[in-house]
Amino acid sequence: QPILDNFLKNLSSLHAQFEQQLFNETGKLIETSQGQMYIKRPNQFRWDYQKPYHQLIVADGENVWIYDPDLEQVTMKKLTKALGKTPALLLSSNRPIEEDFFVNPLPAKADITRLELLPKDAQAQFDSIRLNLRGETLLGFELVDNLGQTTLITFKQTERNQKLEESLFIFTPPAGVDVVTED
Amino acid sequence: CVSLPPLPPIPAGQLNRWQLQGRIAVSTQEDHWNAKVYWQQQGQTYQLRFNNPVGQGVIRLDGNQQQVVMQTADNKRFVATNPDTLVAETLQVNIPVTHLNFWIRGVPSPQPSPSNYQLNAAGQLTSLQQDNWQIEYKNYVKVQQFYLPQKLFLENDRFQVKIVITQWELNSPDFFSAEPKISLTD
Repeated sequence: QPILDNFLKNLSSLHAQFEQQLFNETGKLIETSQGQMYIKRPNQFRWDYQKPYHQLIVADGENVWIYDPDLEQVTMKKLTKALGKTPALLLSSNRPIEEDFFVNPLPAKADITRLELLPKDAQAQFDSIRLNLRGETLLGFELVDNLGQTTLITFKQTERNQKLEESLFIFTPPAGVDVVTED
Repeated sequence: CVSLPPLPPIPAGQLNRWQLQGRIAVSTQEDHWNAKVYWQQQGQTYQLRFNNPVGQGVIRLDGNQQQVVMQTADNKRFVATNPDTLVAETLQVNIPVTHLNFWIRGVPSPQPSPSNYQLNAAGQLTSLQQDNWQIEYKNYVKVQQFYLPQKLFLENDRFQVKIVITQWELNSPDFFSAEPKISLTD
């Protein structure tokens, strides 16, 4: 799929505001969250949920850290085992997309290129990921999981290939918080 | 031992249509399990969803007094009469769902009777011992005329459970209703 391969090949970093909406199997909106996301290829990202509560997910290239201040807990796991094929992992990984997905182009809508990614792994924990691009700008994702839920992520104020501070992708657990390793 | 005075009735005990959104962390010595939780209760009918931290569905329970159906992200489906045994057997995680329907509202479960409890000045439970579980209520939030927990820690001899509730909704008309499906590209 040249469009997606080119997009990822020319992508060294990405920063955007995101809004994430979760819909249940009847299409009812269950949760809306917002925050900032940063991606530095390969294998580094920061997904900073700010509303309605704080949750920080940082991939430092080797591990993924999930910090939930309200739960006073940090969960750490190997990047390779982390969170399945989430949009964040998809964008930051430099594995060729075709290794993990069948990529089907969908009918374009005006100037929006639409692609559907179907996981090759039969054990995948989700059904499909749809991706929308306008030229080199990533507009958003739509992820349908195996329980009929749809997660819609839309990006605003996207900045591509800017220099991003290294410290964004380093996470040190705050004092007094449970640090839990999930193998 | 000194017999415990019976617990005064707590208003949230009469709630039978409620919905919550929060996060749960369950730990044992060896294992840890984090999820976002969405719980909708209407009388004896409930839907309980556990999603992973980025929102992907992991487990869904749909149940009533007679039975509960569990669907998992790896496309498995289980049916049982009781959610507690179903969750314990399939996930090896002991989440006392039947008790939690009450505990999560800051109310003791009907049985067995609590072996201990403490109330604060406002008559809210600050701690509760019931069925070998120790529950600590960290703070409450006012929702309509009810005070409901926002953070609670539960512990028994093997499991530690932390629950944080981001949002409570009471008697909302659109429970279990269907609305048109919304998609990014429609």
